[in-house]
Amino acid sequence: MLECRELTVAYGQHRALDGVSLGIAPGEIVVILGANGAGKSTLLRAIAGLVPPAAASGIAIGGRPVAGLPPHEIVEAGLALVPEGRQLFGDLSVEENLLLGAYARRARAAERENLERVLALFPKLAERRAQVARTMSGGEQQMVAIGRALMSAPSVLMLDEPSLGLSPKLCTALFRTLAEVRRTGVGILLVEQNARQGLAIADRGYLLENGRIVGEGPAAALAQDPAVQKAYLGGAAATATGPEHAVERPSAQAAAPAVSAPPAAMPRFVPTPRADTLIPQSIDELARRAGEIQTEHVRAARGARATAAPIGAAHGIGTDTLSEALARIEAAAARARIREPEPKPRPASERGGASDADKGE
Amino acid sequence: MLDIQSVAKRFGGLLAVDQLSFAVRENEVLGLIGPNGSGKTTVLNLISGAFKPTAGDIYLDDRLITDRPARHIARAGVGRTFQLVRVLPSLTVLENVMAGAVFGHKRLWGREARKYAERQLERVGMAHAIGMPTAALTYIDEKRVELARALASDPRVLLLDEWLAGLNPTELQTGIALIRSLREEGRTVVLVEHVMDAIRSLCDRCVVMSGGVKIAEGTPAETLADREVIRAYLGDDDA
Ligand SMILES: Nc1ncnc2c1ncn2[C@@H]1O[C@H](COP(=O)(O)OP(=O)(O)OP(=O)(O)O)[C@@H](O)[C@H]1O
Ligand SMILES: [Mg+2]
Repeated sequence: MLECRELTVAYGQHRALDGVSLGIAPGEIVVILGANGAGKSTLLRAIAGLVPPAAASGIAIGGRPVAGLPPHEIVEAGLALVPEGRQLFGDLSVEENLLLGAYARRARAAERENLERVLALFPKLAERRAQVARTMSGGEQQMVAIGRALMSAPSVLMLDEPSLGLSPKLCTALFRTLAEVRRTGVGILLVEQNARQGLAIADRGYLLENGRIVGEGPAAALAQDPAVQKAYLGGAAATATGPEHAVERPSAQAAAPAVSAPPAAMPRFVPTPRADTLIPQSIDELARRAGEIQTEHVRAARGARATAAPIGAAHGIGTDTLSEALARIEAAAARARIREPEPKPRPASERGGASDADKGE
Repeated sequence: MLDIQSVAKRFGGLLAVDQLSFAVRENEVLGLIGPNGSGKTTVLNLISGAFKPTAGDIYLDDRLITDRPARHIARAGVGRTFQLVRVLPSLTVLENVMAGAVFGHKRLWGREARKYAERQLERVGMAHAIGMPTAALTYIDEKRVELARALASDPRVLLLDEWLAGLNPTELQTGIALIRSLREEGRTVVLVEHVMDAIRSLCDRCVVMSGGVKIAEGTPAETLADREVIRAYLGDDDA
């Protein structure tokens, strides 16, 4: 499903990644362990097309070579990244951030379903659909970032420290969710400092040091390995206690595409065929809602245009698509304002300070 | 040292902090914990003067600081780091830290500020990065620079917002030792953190928030065993 062969990334003389080869099967969870600076984020960013790999590097998604393609084409090939540090469109609402995640052609048809699933996963986001993302708490922003990645209906999902900033309870829920997402056949590549929980749900793991793979094996074996325990598990043996055992350990066969249906209550993220007919409607709907969120917000959307481009690129949303989306948000918001019922004319005696106070709300 | 009295903060329709009271004693490490969105960062913003409370009062050494501007509170000795890191991208690493020395409690200038800033960078393990542009830093290194900047103002009270998040177990031990050394040199620390190992090994006491209100207060052992805290924050199967 995802195949990297001799992946090398150099920043000038410095080789941040040096001949990394790894693979992920459909429905498999693979965890990368390594110190800060070992090259974990660079690995994910290189696969996503955000940093250029050296010429001889091979990256394939579902058998299709993608090394050297721009990020948005890699997203179309089925890859989604939850980047380190969240990278939300800070001036846009929670819902707009999520919908922008569904901008990949492959994801548009299933946009509504996937949105419902994300909101079922993180009920908090349903409550806060209209909140400007920048004003969300740290953990809430992390939920938006994960939700946005799931909105692109990936076949390979890469997460750079998804548990960072989440409460212990939400961490456990997140790892359970990942276990469920994988059962829909999605392959997951996980970078996680919470090595204990990471290994507990993973099928296999790789150890990355100074840009090289220095070890690999089944997750259960790694968790028992004294050297791994010392370096990545804080010395203490990963004994069988704690929340990670709430998560079912995958069997050896779990690496094969999951045939079993996920439990009924569980959101399913399925790549769907393209259905362009749905696009205008969904953009308009997005725009209409943006209109409802009033002026200040539209101004923010306009400001977002300048700052959004690099973030869009990071998520495979091309500049054109992004401007189109933002333009539609603005236009529809303007229309929505014009259509607003005129306030009833008030007797002149009641005017004055009151109208200012209205605007202030 | 710090006294938070019936403080509330409203954002539009949302009451993010509601009638919250607690005190921070001199030279203790107080853990402020709770679910995502429970109001912890907002409380730090209220203490540091970034936000004004909707109601209630905050005292630093018995002096009312509720309506003082943020820079006065910094000068009075309150330093902080941010959960969503804020280094100034147009400055080098050293300049970022010097900004703390110049504008903080310490009020150093010129060569003195530079020397002091260099020492703080050494302390957080960033001596090698002194001349680097901040754009070249990893997320973790940005957080180290932020702490060095906060330390450069020589704060008496240090507010740390998830400073230990994202460290691997080995790095976490170093981070914990660093915070412990800050306490040993007489500083008071308010620690917002989801890393329970750090809470257990560093905090003298914890205040637990949920939905903007305090649901528990006591030693880490007491609060982390509290049924309401387990239900709201730790998760039932973490008991
Ligand atoms: N400027 C703002 N406008 C609107 N709502 C806000 C604003 N700032 C914070 N909030 C909301 O207030 C609540 C408390 O936020 P806060 O950042 O204090 O949470 P927290 O306890 O630090 O959470 P976390 O552990 O996720 O960082 C959240 O629901 C957040 O969305
Ligand atoms: Mg916070």
